[in-house]
Amino acid sequence: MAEEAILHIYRGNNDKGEMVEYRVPVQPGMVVLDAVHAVQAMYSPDLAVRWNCKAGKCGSCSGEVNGKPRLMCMDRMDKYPAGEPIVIRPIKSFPVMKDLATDVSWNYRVNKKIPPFQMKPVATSLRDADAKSAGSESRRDSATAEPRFSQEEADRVQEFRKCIECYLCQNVCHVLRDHEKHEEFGGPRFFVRVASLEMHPLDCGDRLELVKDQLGLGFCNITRCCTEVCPEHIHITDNAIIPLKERVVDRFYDPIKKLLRIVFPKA
Amino acid sequence: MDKYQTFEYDVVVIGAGGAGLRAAIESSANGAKTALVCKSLLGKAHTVMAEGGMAAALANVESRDSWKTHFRDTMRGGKFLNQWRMAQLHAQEAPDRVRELESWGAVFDRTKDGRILQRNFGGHTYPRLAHVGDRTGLEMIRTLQDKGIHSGIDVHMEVTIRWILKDGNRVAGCFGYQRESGRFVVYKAKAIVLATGGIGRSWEITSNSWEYTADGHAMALWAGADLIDMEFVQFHPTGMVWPPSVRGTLITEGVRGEGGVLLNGKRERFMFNYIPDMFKGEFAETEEEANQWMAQTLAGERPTARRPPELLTRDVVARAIRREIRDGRGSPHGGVFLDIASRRKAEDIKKKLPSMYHQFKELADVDITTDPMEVGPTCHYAMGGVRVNPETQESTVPGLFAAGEVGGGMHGANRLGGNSLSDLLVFGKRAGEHAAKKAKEVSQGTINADEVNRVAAEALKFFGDEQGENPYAIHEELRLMMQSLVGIVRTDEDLRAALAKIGEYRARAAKAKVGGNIQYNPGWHLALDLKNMLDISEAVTKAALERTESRGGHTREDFPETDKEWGKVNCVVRQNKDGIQVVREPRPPMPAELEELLKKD
Amino acid sequence: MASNAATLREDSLGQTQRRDLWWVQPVAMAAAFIAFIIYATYRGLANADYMYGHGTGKLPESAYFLSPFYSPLLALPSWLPAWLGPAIFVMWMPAGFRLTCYYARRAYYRALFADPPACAVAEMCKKNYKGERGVWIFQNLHRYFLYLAMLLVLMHVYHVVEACRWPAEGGGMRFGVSVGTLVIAVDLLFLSLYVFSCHSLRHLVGGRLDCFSGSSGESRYKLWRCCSALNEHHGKYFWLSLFTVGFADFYIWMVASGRIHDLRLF
Repeated sequence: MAEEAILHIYRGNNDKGEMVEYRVPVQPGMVVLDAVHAVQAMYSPDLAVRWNCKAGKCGSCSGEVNGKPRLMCMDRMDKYPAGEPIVIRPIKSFPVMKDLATDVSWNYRVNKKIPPFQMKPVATSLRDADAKSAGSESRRDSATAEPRFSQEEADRVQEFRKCIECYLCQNVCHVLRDHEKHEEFGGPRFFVRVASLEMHPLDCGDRLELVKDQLGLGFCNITRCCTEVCPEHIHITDNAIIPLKERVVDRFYDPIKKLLRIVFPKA
Repeated sequence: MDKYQTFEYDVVVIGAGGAGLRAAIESSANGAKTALVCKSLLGKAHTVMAEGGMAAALANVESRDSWKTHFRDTMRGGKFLNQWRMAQLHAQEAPDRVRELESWGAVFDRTKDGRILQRNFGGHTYPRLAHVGDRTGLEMIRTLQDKGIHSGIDVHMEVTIRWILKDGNRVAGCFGYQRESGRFVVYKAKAIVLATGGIGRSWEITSNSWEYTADGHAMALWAGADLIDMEFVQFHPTGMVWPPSVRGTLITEGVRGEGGVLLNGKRERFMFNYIPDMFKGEFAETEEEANQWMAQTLAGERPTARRPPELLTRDVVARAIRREIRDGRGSPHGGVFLDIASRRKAEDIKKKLPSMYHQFKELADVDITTDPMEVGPTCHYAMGGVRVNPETQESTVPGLFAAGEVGGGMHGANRLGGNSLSDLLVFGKRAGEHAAKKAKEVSQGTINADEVNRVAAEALKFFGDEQGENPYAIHEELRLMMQSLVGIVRTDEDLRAALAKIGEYRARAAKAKVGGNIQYNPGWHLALDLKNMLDISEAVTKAALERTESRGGHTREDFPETDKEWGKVNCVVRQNKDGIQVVREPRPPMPAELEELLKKD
Repeated sequence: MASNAATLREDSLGQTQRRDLWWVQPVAMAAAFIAFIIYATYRGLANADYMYGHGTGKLPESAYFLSPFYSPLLALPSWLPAWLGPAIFVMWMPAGFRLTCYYARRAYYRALFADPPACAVAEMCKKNYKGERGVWIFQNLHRYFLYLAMLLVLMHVYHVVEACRWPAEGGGMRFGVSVGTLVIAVDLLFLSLYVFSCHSLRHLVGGRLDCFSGSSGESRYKLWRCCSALNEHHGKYFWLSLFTVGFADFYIWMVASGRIHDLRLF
């Protein structure tokens, strides 16, 4: 077990920095984050890195390992060829604070723009079918107004709610990464969030205009890198972004629907 | 004082996990100007690691369930050492807190008729845990986070609070530093809510993250507040044991709730041999009966068979696993097997336990739908914490409140799985409400500038040119020591040795040195945290030394029996000029009608 | 917003820290797109050898076969210049469907426009990026091309039926199948899979609903689930159907021009 890993880690801030080489011993099952911790313990206690759960559940330890956006706690060392340096850099779409920690506060500002969940008046969310099939018991519940929806309806939203906010999708999205449209664009994470609210069976808010104008859904050219890097395997493009685009088309771009709305304004 | 950035609030909540967020939302809703201060980014708190669910007697799946049964289960799980009023409030209010969460957008798994689904869990008589697959904590954090950001709360992220500032006897504010810039900050506040979580980072094998450095416990102790039940540390029976890099990472009790069984190295289902007297007659005694229960539960019937012994309380299961391993019946990497592959269909496992599947696949190369997992106990939860008024969550220091894991008394000697998430909400809400109320009653206190300067100077002593030890090395030694001497099973000799070691580490930690500067310097942060961990390790060790019996999360090899007399008192830890002291205090008397509930059958 | 540190800069086309062969996929896709566009343009303008069988003047003993590029076959007024064949007037429909397809957009924005060339690989043109808000805003009309594509599927069904009707020796028609029949049947299969896995269709059948309750809810949900299951493979069907449509045309070209014989199976 005297094997050694060679790491090249970015040390510096947003203006200046360099790649520094470290060598640490390799243990079975080791992940990249372990190696970074070994560097802290052996050489450089002041190496900045964010982490929390170390099990892929909190989304803190995002970075770029050999150029690929990854959660460092879920990135096994043994998949990298032994003897070759492993390059570890901070995520690129956000300013570096120090070493591997970046300033992701922009994301929190975007999130705040999204109106929160708004509960429907409960009676309308009761399932007719249930009321019929479940008989007296469910009538009792409709009296106490317990919101009901099926697991099938929950499934779709639950996929989006798996998001751990690691911001790897934000990092890899070229609209932010290359075109730097931070002012006009919300990024995949917040399309997922809007989708989770818009498709929520109990929500009655309306965020389509927001997603089209303020979050700049149209900037997304659905090149799917967000989906490719998502550590939670959320189908960001197919299940969140494209359905939102289609809903936006319904409201804003479909000429026949527009015409119908002019002719029959209330329908 | 001008050297520090100063903020002024009515209420400052420290910690942004479930309890902190809930407290901040409530405080703000009650009209207090509220700040939420957290060490990590918002939404990353350790609550996301809670997997199995939150216990609440909604009676959606089993209509016989009620708060009374929940109360009884909680007290029995806590070996009757719980503060009864907290257990009562918790059982009564948890259902409302769950429904409230749903009304804020949480999407729980559903029953067939569209209500909130509940699953079985260790120590709960009925299926009681509202859940979302195996990521219930994430659902809770995200729901509260999204509610919180629209509730007019100021969130201060990546700020560590070091010290509670007092004006005479009462709270006046707190002092800390911004992790990124390293700059010191002072918050003036009329009331402070501690919601800092636990202490598990002082053990080697732990499911807890770096944040769990006992900050709130230590700050309360230093501020003169009482801690209670500190000897009780929960070791979760099922943590990962292999590979080494993930040792201790949690495997949800939900695996057993969904039908998983524990097998020793000889593939024997050993839990039948460990049913304690207290639970005799309530659990299946043969595999056939346990399997029948499982089949009935899966079919959605009301089970006539008794529950499998894998669903015993965590303290019992953890001790049983430890025993099997010690007696040479362990698995190849020193654990036991947890098998769900042979019990449920692959697609069900992936659906109900997706992150467990993912975690094992990626980190251990194990496919849990075909192979068993290797598991062993891992330090998980501190039952002990700040002693609070059950109604208001206020500590013995006026204006200092505590909620969640940092609060003590709710869980007694052992916490039931699923009672933590509901604890966070029930007492988070209460703490926020009463902190806001307090803030209306009192005016802003005066900050003592000398006190601030002293704490600041102390924090900066780790920088300098002299040689000093790397704090990581001291931390590592502390963790190994606590694991071996103050672990699941303790003895007088070990505990005394531990106290000696803690003294030695304390001397070394005071002289630790870190390189670099104050900006985002994890080494420096750790050097500061060592003080908390050492003081609270001492509190745990001293309380453990005091309690000469075995009960719940505290097992003494030299006193293996549960002692009736000890059931009448709690150990209270406080700090005075002579250092950290432990005293015994009688439990408050329980009303007859609750006493009656416990006696039933 | 992002980093100014020279060490971290990646701002010229293709610059990346990735070490895998990230360029293989975009290059291969670009080659496939360009090859298909050249072939389809040539065949669409060739205006010859696009059909055979009874009633066409070519191979009267065969069932009726028409190249999918020319379907539905239009009768053009005589005043149009001769080089404007009927294909030009119908090919815009499938072309439009494919151009605005949510999968194809990913493929050609990456392969042909390098915007971006691959994930975490830098791109060239950074100024004035408008995404699908600028000229590409017409992509929002995909659903209308979907309606047309569904009509084309019907046309294809008609052609497959026709390809099973062979002139009988004593006059009249009888059922028969040749290799050509199979070729266009396979094309029909993949075209249908491609069209019915469309993202817009998935939206229309149920995706636009938040609740699947009420009387029609259950069936809407089932439709949506079916569409969703197909949709997962939309990209695969895009490429397969692109290949089969090209091949069907090629086969008919080869038979019609007499280069090969369409083997009758029964």
